[in-house]
Amino acid sequence: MDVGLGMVIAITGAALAVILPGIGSALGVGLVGETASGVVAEDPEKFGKLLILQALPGTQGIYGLLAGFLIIMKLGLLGKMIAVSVEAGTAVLGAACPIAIVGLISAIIQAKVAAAGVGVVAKRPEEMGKAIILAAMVETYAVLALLTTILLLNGISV
Amino acid sequence: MGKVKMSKLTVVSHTKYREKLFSVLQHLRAVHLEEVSKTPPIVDEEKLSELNHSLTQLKYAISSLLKFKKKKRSPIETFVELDHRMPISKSRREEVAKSFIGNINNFSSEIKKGENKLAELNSEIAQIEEKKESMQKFLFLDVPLSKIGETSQTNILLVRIKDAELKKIAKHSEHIAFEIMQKGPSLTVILVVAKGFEKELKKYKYEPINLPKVEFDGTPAEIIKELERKRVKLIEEKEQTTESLKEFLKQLEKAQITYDYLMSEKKKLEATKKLLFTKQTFTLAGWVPTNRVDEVKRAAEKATDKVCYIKVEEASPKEHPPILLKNNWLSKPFEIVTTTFGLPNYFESDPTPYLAPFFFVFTGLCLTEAGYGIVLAIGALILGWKIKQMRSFAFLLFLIGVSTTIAGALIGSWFGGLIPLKPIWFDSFKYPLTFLILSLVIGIVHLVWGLLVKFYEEMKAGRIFSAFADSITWAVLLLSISGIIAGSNGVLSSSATKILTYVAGGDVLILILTQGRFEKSIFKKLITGVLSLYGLIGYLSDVLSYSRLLALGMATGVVALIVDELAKLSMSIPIIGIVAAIGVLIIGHLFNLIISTLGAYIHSSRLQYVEFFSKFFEGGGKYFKPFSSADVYTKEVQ
Repeated sequence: MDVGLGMVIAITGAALAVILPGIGSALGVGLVGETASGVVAEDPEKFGKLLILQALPGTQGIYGLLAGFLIIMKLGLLGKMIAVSVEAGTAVLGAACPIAIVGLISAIIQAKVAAAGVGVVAKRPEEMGKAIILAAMVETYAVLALLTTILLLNGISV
Repeated sequence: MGKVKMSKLTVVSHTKYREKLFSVLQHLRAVHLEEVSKTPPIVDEEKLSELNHSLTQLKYAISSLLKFKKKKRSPIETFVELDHRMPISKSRREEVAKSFIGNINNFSSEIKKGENKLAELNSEIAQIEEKKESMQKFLFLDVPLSKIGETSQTNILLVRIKDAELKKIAKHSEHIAFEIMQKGPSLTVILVVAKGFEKELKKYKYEPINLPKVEFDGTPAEIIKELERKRVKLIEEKEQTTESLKEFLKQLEKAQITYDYLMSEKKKLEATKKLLFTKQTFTLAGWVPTNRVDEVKRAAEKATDKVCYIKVEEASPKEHPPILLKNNWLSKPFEIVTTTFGLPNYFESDPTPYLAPFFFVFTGLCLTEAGYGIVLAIGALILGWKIKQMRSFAFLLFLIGVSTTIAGALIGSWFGGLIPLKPIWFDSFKYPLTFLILSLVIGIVHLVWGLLVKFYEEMKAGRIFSAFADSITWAVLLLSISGIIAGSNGVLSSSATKILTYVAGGDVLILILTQGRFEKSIFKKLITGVLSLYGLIGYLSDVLSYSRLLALGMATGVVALIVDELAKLSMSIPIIGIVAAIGVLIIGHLFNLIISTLGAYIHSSRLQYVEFFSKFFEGGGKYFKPFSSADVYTKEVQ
C-alpha cells in the first residue's frame, strides 16, 4: 500500500527517537572512554570497573532504540503496514519527542558526571559505587522521558 | 541483628610488655585502636627507617620476580581481584622471616643487577635490529662500505640521479667514472670524482645517499650477517640472564613471607603512636566486639603476666564506636547495597534487613524477564561454585535471578517472545498502566515502610513525641491521600473515601500544629507548620520516581523482543540462516541481560539511597578495622 503523509511523519518520529539519544550516548560513551583510557594506561587492573562507568551514558541510546521499535511495531512496519492519518502520525512524532530530546541531553550530561567519577575510581576504587550512583541520578530524567513516551504511544490509537 | 555491639577497652601496663601485647593483639584481630593522647609519643625512628628500607628493597625484588611468574588469570579477574594469598601460621611466618632477613640485601641487589642487565641487553638488541633494518636497503651494493669515501686522488660517492642528468655528467669522462648499481625511476650510482672537480659537479642535480654507520667493514650483505650473529648472541645472553633471575623464583615465597612479617612489625611501631606513655607505663585504648571482650582480656593478662589494669565500658552517645555489620544468611548479601552508600552510625539500626526485601522486588521488576532470571540464577550458582571469594555477591545475584524469574513469569515474557508462555497475572505490554500503578503502589509501601523505620528509631531513642509527629503523621497522610485517589477511581466505596478525606484533613491540621514546634513565636510556629505541607511535593516526586520500575522492566522486554525480531530477519539469509539466527539470539540476549542487570542493580540501589534512606538514615559510621598483622602476599591463619 502507499505510504501516506501520516506514515512519513510517524516514521520521522521513530527515526528521531533513535537518532538523537544515539548521538548523545555515542558522545557520552566516547567522553567517558577517553577519560578512562588515561587511568587504564596507569593501572590496567581497573579496566573492569571503568567499563561499567563507561556503559552508564550508553543506556539512553538503548531507550531511544526501544522507543523507535515500539513505533515501528505500532505502525506495523515489520508485517502488514497500516494506514496512518496525518493527525495520528503527528501524534506519534510528538510522543517520540520526550525520549528523543531528553535522551540526547541527559546522555551528555551523565557522561560528564561519569567522567568525573573516573577520578574517583582512580584514587579510591573501593568507592566506585558512589561514583556510579552520582551518574545514575542524571539518568532518572531519561527514564522518566522514556516512561512518558511509552505511555503516550500506548494512548495513541492509529 | 544488624550490627555488632562494641565495648570500650582500656589497658594500662608496664612498658616492657608492650611488644608482647601488640603481638598477641595483632594475632587476635579484635581491637580497633583509638588514639589515647593527642600528641603522639616519639617512636624509634631509626628502627622505622630501617624497616622501610628493607620493605622497599623487598617490594622491588618481589614485583620484578612476579613478572617472570606465569600468571593464570581467569576472565573474571578483569572485574575483581581474586585472592591468591597463601595461608600461613603466625609461628611459621616468623620462623621463615627470621631466617631470610639477613639475606634481603644480597637477594634484592642480585635481582636489581639482573634487571639492569636485561634492560641493557634489550636496548642493545633494539639498536642492532634498527641497524639491520637500515642496512637492508643497500643489499644491492656488492662492494665493501669502506670503499665508498675519500681516497688520496678521488672522492667516491653513492648518489641517486636521473638518467638524463647522468648522461650530462658522463661527458666529463676525464674527471669522472661511474657504475650503475641499481636501476629504477632514478638511478643509484657510484660516482668516482677526481679531486678538484667537486665545484663543477655541484651544477648537476643529484642526491647523495648517506650510508648508515657500522663499526665494522664489509658489503651490506656481510654486515647484515654479522649483525644477525651478534643479535643471536645477545638474545642467548638475555635468555641466560632471565634464567638466572628465574632461579630466584625459588626464594620468592620466602621473600613474600618476610615482607609481610616486616610490614607487621612496622604496623606495630606505627600503632605505638596511638598509645599514651609515662616513664614506666603505657595506656592503650580501643573498641572490641562485646562478645570477644573476655577472649581479649584473657590474652592481654597472659601477655603481660597479669601486670596490667583492664577496664571495659559501654559506648556512650558522645563516642563514635566503629561499625561491624552482622546479618543473617538471607540479608547478608544485601550488605553491599548499604556499604556502597555508607555505614550507619553506632546508635542507629543497620538498614540492611529493612531494604533487603524491597531490593529483591525492585531488581526483579526492573528486569521482568523470566528467561533472563533463570540464566542469571544459573550463572550466579556457577560463579559462587567456582570462586569462593565471591560467594556473597553470587548469592545476591542468584536472589536477583529468582526475583526476576518470578516477576517475568507473572507479568513479563520468556526471552522476548522466544518461549510463547503467557504471563500468569497480566501482560505488562498490553497493560502498561497496570504496571505503572503496581510500581507506584510498591513505591508508596516502600516510603511508608521507611517512615515506620524512622518511627521505630525515634521510639528507641526515647523521642516519643517526634516519633508520632514526624513519621506517623506523614505515613497516615501518604496512605490516606493514596486511598482517596484510589476511591476516586472507584476502587473504594464512597463512604470509605469520605472517611479517608476526614483523616487526611485531620492529619494536615496536626502537621500544621506540630511541624513548627521548634520556632519561638506563635506566629512563626504556624507559618513553619503551614510551609511544612510543601513536604508533600517531595513525597509526590518520591512516589513518581518509582515509575522507573515500569520503564526499566519494559525496556528489558522490548529489547529482548528486538533481538528476537533481528534473529527472525537473519533466518532469511540463505544457507547460514539458522546459524546466524542462533548467533544473533545468543549475543543479543547476553548483551541485553548484562546491560539490563547493571541498570536494574543501579536503579534499585538509587531507590534505596534517595527515596528510602532519606526518611530515616543518618549514617556516618566508620569501619571496624582491627589491629592486625599485614597480609599483603600471605594470609595469617588463626
